[in-house]
Amino acid sequence: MNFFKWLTKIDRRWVYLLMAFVVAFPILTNIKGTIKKPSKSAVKLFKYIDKLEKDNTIMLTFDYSPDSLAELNPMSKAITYHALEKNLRIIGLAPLWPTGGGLGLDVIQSQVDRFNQEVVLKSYLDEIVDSPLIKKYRETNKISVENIKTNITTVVTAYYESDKKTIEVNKKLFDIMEKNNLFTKADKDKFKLNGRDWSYFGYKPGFSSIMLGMGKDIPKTIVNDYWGTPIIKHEMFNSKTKKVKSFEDISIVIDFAAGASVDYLLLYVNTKFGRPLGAGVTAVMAADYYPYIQSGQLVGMLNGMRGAADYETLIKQPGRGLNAMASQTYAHLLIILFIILGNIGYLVTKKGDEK
Amino acid sequence: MKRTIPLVLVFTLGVIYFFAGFFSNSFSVNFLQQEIYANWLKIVGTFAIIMSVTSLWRRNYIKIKRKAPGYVYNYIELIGMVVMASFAVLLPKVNIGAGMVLGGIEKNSVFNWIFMNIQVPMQATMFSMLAFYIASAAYRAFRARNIEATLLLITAAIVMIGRVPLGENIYQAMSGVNSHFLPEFHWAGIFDFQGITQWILDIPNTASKRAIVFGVAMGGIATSLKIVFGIEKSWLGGTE
Amino acid sequence: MRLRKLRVILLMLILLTVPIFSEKPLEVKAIGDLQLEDYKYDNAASIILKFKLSPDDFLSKLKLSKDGILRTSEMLPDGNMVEYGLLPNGTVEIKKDGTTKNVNMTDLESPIRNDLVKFYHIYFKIGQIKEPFNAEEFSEFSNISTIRIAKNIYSYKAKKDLSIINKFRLPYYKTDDNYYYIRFKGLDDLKKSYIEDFENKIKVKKGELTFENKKNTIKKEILKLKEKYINNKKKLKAEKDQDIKKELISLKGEFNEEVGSLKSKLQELKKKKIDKEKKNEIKKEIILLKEELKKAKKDFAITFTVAAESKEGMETYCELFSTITPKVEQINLDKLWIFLFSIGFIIIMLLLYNSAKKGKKLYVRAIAGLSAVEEAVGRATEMGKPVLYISGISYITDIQTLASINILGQIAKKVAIYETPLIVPVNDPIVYTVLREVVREAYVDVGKPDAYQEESVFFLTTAQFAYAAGVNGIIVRDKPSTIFYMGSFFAESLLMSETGNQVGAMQIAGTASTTQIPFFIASCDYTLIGEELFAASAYLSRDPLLLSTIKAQDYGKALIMLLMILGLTLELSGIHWIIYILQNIPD
Repeated sequence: MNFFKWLTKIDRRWVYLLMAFVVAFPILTNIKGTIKKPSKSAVKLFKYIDKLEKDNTIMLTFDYSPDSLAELNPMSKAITYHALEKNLRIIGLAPLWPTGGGLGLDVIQSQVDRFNQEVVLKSYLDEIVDSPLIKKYRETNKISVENIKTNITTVVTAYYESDKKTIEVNKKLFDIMEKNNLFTKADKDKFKLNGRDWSYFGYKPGFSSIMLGMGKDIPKTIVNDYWGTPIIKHEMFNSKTKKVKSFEDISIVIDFAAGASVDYLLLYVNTKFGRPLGAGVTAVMAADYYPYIQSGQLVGMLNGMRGAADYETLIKQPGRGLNAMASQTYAHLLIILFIILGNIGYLVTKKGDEK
Repeated sequence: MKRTIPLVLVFTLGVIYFFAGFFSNSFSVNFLQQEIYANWLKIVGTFAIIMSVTSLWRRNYIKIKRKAPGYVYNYIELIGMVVMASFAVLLPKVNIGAGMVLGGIEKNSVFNWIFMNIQVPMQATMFSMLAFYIASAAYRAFRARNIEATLLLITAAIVMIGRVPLGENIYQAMSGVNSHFLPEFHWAGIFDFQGITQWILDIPNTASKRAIVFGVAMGGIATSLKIVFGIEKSWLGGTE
Repeated sequence: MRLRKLRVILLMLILLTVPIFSEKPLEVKAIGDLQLEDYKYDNAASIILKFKLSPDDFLSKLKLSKDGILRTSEMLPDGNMVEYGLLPNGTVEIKKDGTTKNVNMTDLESPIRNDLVKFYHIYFKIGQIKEPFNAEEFSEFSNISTIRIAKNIYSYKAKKDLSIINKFRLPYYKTDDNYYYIRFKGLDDLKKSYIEDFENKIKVKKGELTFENKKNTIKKEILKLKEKYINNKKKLKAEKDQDIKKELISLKGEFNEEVGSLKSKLQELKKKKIDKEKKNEIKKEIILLKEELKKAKKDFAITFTVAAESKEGMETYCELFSTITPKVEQINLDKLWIFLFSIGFIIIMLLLYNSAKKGKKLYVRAIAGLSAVEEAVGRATEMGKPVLYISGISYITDIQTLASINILGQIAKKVAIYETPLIVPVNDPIVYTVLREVVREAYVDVGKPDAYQEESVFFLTTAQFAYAAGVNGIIVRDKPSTIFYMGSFFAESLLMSETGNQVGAMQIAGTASTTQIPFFIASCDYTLIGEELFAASAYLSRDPLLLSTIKAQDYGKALIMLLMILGLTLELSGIHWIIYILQNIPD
């Protein structure tokens, strides 16, 4: 009897300890989960983005802070990567949370760099790294092959964006490449450049005025991007044929949220300006938004880590999301186990009390 | 007088903004909703931040002065605030080697380094505590005390399995068994945890959420009207 | 009493201002065979047209050709020829870009006669025109970048087809049965660019007249240059450099050059000097232009033509014209139902309020969580431990936060009476300033202003989980005996309430954030669900006047339920008007 009574009152520290073990084990041993059938709401969002055409623009809004970074970064990275793959143009913004400003940039920048290095420059890099001059530079400075690839990508990007600061930092490499006409070999059109293929605004205070203003004129409302450059100078906002002027030119807005931002964006983006809205939210608050998917106000939604895993499966780019699926499976099983144990204890002791 | 002025202000603005919502001319859209409202909020917000920071200083100062239990933490809070603020605003943007800049909030600044390496992990830790707390709360709360509680318990278990790849695996295995055993019935359907989870989220969850939302909306309207018409005066602190 | 009179006067004044800000409604003229049924403006920059279009409108142009087939051809704006025809036996021949396709009518996804008109390109032409449509002429205007090509999607299927939606980036409006709604955007820009054209012309003409002004400006510029030159000279001399002479010479040269160019400009102007006759002519021209500008401002109109495209890629145009003048619609009739409902709700509330004022007793069911508040505060007093109040982590604009503020007003009074310590850590700066006042006033109200401690209400942080960590710290250190969680919560709710549960505090939560309700139920003693949060302050105050508003809330809910049942019954029995009315309400 005593044992069953103990079952109803297991010290919570035991629960914590087992939980920590169960979550950490798959991550540390790199066990990956697989998903065969991604959830409906994720597929909806994926299909919407997948059907967009080249040079359509998507806006990503980052309304989270470092605390929910672990849960929301995998999905925002997956969507960014997908957009790059589809040759969509990306606009990043943190409309509500100041902390989202830096995080959003990190997400977009990392994916752009990754895409540029792994997809656009792949054959070019393989060729250039083996060229004698670069080899010499690499050996004298003792830089690994991986790092030199990253460095070259950075320099090429800086060259095309005419980013003087970055060129200054990598002056030596830049000079070698310029002298030997190595830049011309890279394909500028396919390259993802800031200002042409993506733009990042950072945190802009005054949510409602920003939203209302963007419905009319984005360059006038935002004025400067994250680095303080007037965005009207960017090709994305001043090109004659395909400039982005207002919300009307944005095919979809996707909000990554840890707070109430989806509700606010529904009000402005969807209701007021009639633009499609997608969402990526933490699992704790996801249940709130299923009604909006049903009513069509949300195009689709990624629900927590599972949503990220779904999206990674859909774009065939396994990452952190799928990695965490194993942890989540074991954690859920552990909770179910504890619930069952608690109930066994409860039912047995209750019967005993009744007798 | 101290009560009358706020009440009159609230009533006037409340009525104006109520009507503004139904007008679509530029006066109501651009002037009332954008110029006045948005800018007002910004101005009030700025002053409120000054007051808040003052309050923060004051509270910490009092605790340190009284040497209240755990006053070391108050020191940490104040130091943290001063250090972060001075890196962001006061210190010059000078190169300090290793590609880092002393002042400012750029990506390679000290401020950003502290933010990414101290603030981010700390906050992520707080969020991840949720996993432990949910486990222990679920363990305590989900007891089959009566029929409703049992239903809730079963639903929770189904959703938990359905949300992870395990649910798919079970369904697949069961479908395999189904094709050999009683293939004329699709009895494996009851193991389609993912499908059932989706149904639970789409139908009962949405229905209950909508019911609550209706109530909340009515409550919200009533609360606003109470304040606009001056029936509720608690926000002024007490009654007249 | 005085306040009430003041309110009535204020309301009258506000209502009086409405006509002042109203503009006259616009005129819509229909030319050609387009039947414009209705139109509305949804905001300053767009107009929605409602018109009836029968498939015969464009099929009427078909002529019987020699082979007995109905056939005609049209020129597309991009120069492509499109031929379309209708076979009596139901085969459609589609020619585009040189290839011909014979499609059986039954093979098409939908019968072509009705579905040929799928959506529309709208081409604008400024000014009123009455001539028949000429594709080449319109193609010019379709290239103006400020003009958006509006579109409408005909069928439900097309509505779901993303490629169509993306081809025309504007939000489609809607269609029902025989009506087509089209949304135009960017009309403001269009009008501006059109009027600017006139204004620029006038400016140029005026410039010709005012060469005298130009003369003066050039003279001023010369003076400025002189000053600059002298200043530079002084600076150079002060520096006492060796190369001073060289630089001085170059400076002088520069100066002479600039002044020279300006002087030559002046002479040119003098040559251009015109006699009085010409002056008068220009003046007349300006007057004419000004009149035209006036006209343009007044009669600015857009003529549009509707083009249809079938899903199979066939494109054709129909001669449908209408002239519209962009102006803003004053009252958004889409929101009429919301308006009526709101007014009804206000009337019900005020009626109940009045009857409560006359002394009528209203029954309000017992809410366990709120009945326990007294006990909770008493418990804290007995144990000599503080009461902790968390007002949610949302902004002041959140209605839940407002409700929370009202509740704190009531709780603070109870706490003040017993002189129990109160801790209110706040998440938002604006909310903090309000809560501070509320608590202070509550203490004053019960006659214990001395018991109020300035630091009992304080700002903690705006960061979500840092706030949760801070609150947890307070819970663990101060071990409050009672904790209230009232307001809007997100993922941090359980972190705080579990910690409270661990230290054995009595916890009462109330939130309308549906996803957090289960967490509170699992970890708190009492939880107010949804609207109970909004009823709480009235319930706690026991003021019959406040309780009357709860009653109004119930009536409102009853009305919604009634509408739902009515709608369900009608919908099931095939009567759709109620759904139509309710769906007309914008989201």
